[in-house]
Amino acid sequence: MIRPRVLLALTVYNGRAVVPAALTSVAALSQAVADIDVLVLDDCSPEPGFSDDVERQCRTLGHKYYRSPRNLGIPRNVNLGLLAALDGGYDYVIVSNSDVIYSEMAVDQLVLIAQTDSRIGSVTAWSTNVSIYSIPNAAPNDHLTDQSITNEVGAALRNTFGTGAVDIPAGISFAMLIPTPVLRVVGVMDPVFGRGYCEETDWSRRSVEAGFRLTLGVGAFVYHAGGGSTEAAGLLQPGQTTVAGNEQIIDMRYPDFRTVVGKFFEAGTMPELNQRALEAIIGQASEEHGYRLAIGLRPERPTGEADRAVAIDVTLHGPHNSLANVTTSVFGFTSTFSTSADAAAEMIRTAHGMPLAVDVYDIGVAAEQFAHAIAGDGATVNSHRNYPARV
Amino acid sequence: MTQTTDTTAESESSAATATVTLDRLSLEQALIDVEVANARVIDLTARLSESHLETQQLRQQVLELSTLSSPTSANSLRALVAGPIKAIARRVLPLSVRTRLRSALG
Repeated sequence: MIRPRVLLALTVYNGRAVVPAALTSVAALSQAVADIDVLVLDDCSPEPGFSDDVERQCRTLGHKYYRSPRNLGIPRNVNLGLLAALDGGYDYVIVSNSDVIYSEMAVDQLVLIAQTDSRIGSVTAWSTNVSIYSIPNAAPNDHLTDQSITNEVGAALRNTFGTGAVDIPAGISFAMLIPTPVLRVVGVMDPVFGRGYCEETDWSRRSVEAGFRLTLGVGAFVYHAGGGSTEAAGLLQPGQTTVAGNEQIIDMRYPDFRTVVGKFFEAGTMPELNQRALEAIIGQASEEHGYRLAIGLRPERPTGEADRAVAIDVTLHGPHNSLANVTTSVFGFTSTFSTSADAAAEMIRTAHGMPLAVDVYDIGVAAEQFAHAIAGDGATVNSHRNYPARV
Repeated sequence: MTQTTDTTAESESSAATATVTLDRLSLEQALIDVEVANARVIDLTARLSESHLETQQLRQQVLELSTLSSPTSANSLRALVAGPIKAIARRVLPLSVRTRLRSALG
C-alpha cells in the first residue's frame, strides 16, 4: 500500500517566542500513517537575526526553509505552501500557523479523518483557540506549551473521538489539512484579503460551493497560542480578533454565511463535544496522574510539574450541607456539576477511584464525612483550620 | 569525514533546489495575481464610474423633489389645485355642507 505524502507548510513572520517550539514539535510528529515533509515559509521576517536562526533550526531538524524576498502577507505566503504541495505531488497539504504545538499523532489523525470520505475538502485540527470551535480552557498558555501535556490531551481526544469528522461552517487555517485533489478544484487563497484574516473562510465557502465538506477533526489536537504574530505585525489591534474590512468582503460574497454559522450554534454541537472532550481529558489525566480532592476553598490551585494530578474541588452547601458543587480541573480544562453530597462522593469514587490526597478546608461534620467517604482507609485526610482562603 | 561532507553537500544542494522551486512558484503565482489584480482594477473602475453616474442622477432627483416640497412650492401647488376643487365642490355638494367645510378649513 502506498503511504500518503503530506506537506506541512508552516508560515512564519517573526515570533521568536513561539516559532522554535513549533519547529521542534513538528519534527517529532508520528509518521505511522503518512510521510510528512515540513516546509517553513518565512514571510521576510524583519526582526534582525530571526530568519537566520529559523533557517539554522530548520537545517538541524531536517525541515525545508524558504524566505520570501519580499513580504507577501498571509494569504499569498500560504499559497506558496499550497502550490509547493501541488508541484511536489503531495497527497495532502497542511496549512499551519507557527504559534502551535502539534500533539504527536495529530497529522496521522488528520490524514485518517480525511480518508473517511472523499468529499472532505478540509479537516481543521481541534484546539483551545480555534475560533467558535474552541475547547474552553482557563489558562492554555500555562499548560499546553508543554509538548508532553499536549500529547496527553491529543491522546485523550484521539481515544475518544477516533476519526470522527464534524461538519462546520468554515475551516480555520491555524492547522488545516487539505487533500491536494480538492486544491486543484477550489484553487488557492484570494490575495484580496491582503495581509490576512478571512481568506480561509472565503476558501471554505468556495469549497462548499464546489461540493466539498468542511470538517473539524475532533480526534486531532493542536495547541494554538493565536494572534501573536498578527498583533506584532500591526495587522490586529490589541483586543481585536479579526479585520473588519475582510469580514465585509465575506458578507458581500456570501450573504448566507452568518445564517449558516447561526444554525451551527443553534444545533448545540460544540457544547456537547466540549463536554465529551473535557470528560475525556480529565478522565485520562486522573487515570495517569491521580487526583487531589479539596473540600472547601483551597488557598490556590496546584500548578507545575508536581501537580499534573487532577484537582477536584468540592464545596458543600444547602440544608445541613447536603448539596455539593464539584469542580474538576486539569491543565486548565475545567468541568463542573452540582448534585447531592452523597451522590457526588459516589460519583467521584466511581469515576476516579482513590485520591492521592484529601484536604479539608471547611469546618464541620458534613465536610469530614465527605472526606472520609472518599478517602476510606487508603488516603490521608489533612484538615486545615483557618478562615476561608478565598472570598 | 567524507560521509559527513557528502551529507552536508547533499543537504545544501537539496535546500538550493527547494529555493529555486519556490522562487519559480512564487514568481508564477505573482504574475497570475498581478493579472487578476489588473482585471479587478479595470472591473472596479468601470463599476465605480457607473455608480458615480447613478449617484449624480439620484442627487439631482433629490434636489428636484426637495424644491417641489419647499413651502413656496406648496403654496403654488395649493393655488394651482384650489380652483378646480372649488368648482367640483360647487357642483356636487349642497350649500350647507360647503359652508360647514369652509368654516372647518378656515
